Amino acid sequence: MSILALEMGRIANRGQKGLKTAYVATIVGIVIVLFILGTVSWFVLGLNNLKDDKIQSFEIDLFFDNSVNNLELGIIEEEIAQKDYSHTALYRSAEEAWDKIKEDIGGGDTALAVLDNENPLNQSIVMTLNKSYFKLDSMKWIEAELMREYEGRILEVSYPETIFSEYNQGIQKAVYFMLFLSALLLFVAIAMINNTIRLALFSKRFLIKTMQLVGATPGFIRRPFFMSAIGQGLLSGLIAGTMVLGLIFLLQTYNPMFLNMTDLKLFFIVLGGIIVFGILITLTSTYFALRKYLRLNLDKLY
Amino acid sequence: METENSIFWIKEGEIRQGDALVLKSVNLHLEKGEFVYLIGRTGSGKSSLLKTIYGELKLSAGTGKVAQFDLNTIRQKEIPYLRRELGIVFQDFQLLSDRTIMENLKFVMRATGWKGKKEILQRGEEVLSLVGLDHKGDKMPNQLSGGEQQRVSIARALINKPAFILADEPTGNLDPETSKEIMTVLLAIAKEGTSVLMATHDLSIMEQFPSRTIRVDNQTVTELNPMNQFDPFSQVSFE
Repeated sequence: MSILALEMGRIANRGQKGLKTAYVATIVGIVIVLFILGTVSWFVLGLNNLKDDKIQSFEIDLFFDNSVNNLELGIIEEEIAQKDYSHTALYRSAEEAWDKIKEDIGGGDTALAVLDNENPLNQSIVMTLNKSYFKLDSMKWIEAELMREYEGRILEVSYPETIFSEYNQGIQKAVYFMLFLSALLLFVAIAMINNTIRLALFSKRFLIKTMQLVGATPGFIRRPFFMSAIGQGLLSGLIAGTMVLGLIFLLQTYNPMFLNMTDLKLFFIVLGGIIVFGILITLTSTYFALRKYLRLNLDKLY
Repeated sequence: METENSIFWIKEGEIRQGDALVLKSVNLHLEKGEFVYLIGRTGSGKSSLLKTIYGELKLSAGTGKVAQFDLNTIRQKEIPYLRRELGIVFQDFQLLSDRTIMENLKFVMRATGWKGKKEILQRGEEVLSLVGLDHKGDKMPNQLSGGEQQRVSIARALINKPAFILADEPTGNLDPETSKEIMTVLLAIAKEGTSVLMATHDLSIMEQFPSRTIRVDNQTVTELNPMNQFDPFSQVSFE
């Protein structure tokens, strides 16, 4: 009897140890998933922030004939500012434009001497685009629209076409790859949770059998599993969040741009997101694992 | 067969494990305060019958009722509540070895929806005194003898004031003296009005405490002689 009890104790201990390892492995798995997701989403959010700023400050010149008088241009400026696609619209006289060019080119008069220092520019309205219209298609349409509306007065809508394709490609592939990787890891994490639950059920099978036979509701039996699932999700989310923050600061030491990309508010959004997502992963996979194993006849669990 | 005092009954019941037929034409009933033995060889289907009574298996044909629960139509969700109507006592006690006796009882109470510390403690002491274990609540299971542990598991079965006790070979792990002690407790419980259905192999116990006996054999159950006129050695053959 006592040898049997000792042996059973030893088996139970082994189960406990295996269970602990499984819990740690599960948390590590979820942390990796959340860390990648967190990094990706922080990156995407940060780049979007950066992109929106850049995009909405990108100037498009609408050149008008110099015969159009100030009053009329004032009205046109107002009209354009009211359009859905415009973020801002500002009148710029030919002189101001000329000064800006000179400033941009630098070097002063030498390069521009060929033009005899005569201003070749027309007066213009400088428009910046609303970010949702920042596409080549939309731009073409806007151009056509403006040319039609102010026919005879507008001379040219000026913008470099390549800028649109440059902004919208590039990072997307990297983001898709990271998302694919995290989906794969998510699958692994769910399998690990499943395995952990099975181990936990196995090491607590006597307890669970007793509970079932005395008339405990499945809800009561599940509750501790759900509590630990929430704990795991919370812990994993916090660890992963700290790691993302660590990564930001690490990157920051190499290139200060990274911290400019984001502000702390953005980081807290990411942190909250991964904690919620972590809890969601652990809770749903715990729910399904438990549903499967609690429906089994307990005899089959042995 | 079905009377006002019936705690549970099965009429023309049929029990299957998967596709295999285990028992058929099962006719069984238990009156309030009755003490009934259930005998049968290992593999005769005794366990399946017990499982049907506590809701682990469904009746595949026939009708049956435990307390207010219909054994044909009982839903998965109702099974926990069916089990609160009967107390189960196991051969191997099934006490939780990592906590005290009182904690064992409290655990069951919390698992079955008891609220209120005072009520829980009070009921715990009540059932312990019913089985003659007052003041043993602080002990750990391994500090008690086998007989005492079995009495704890009877106390645990009594917690929710069940309609009857289902005892699955409660004396199977105990020496003859301790077995007698457990029988006394069970018979006392029956006398108080809680019926007891006891599965057993223990012929000497049945001889010492004769009572109504039901045998599981040949894929069915049969009633042996009327109460108190039963000589186990002439009617039961265990070869």
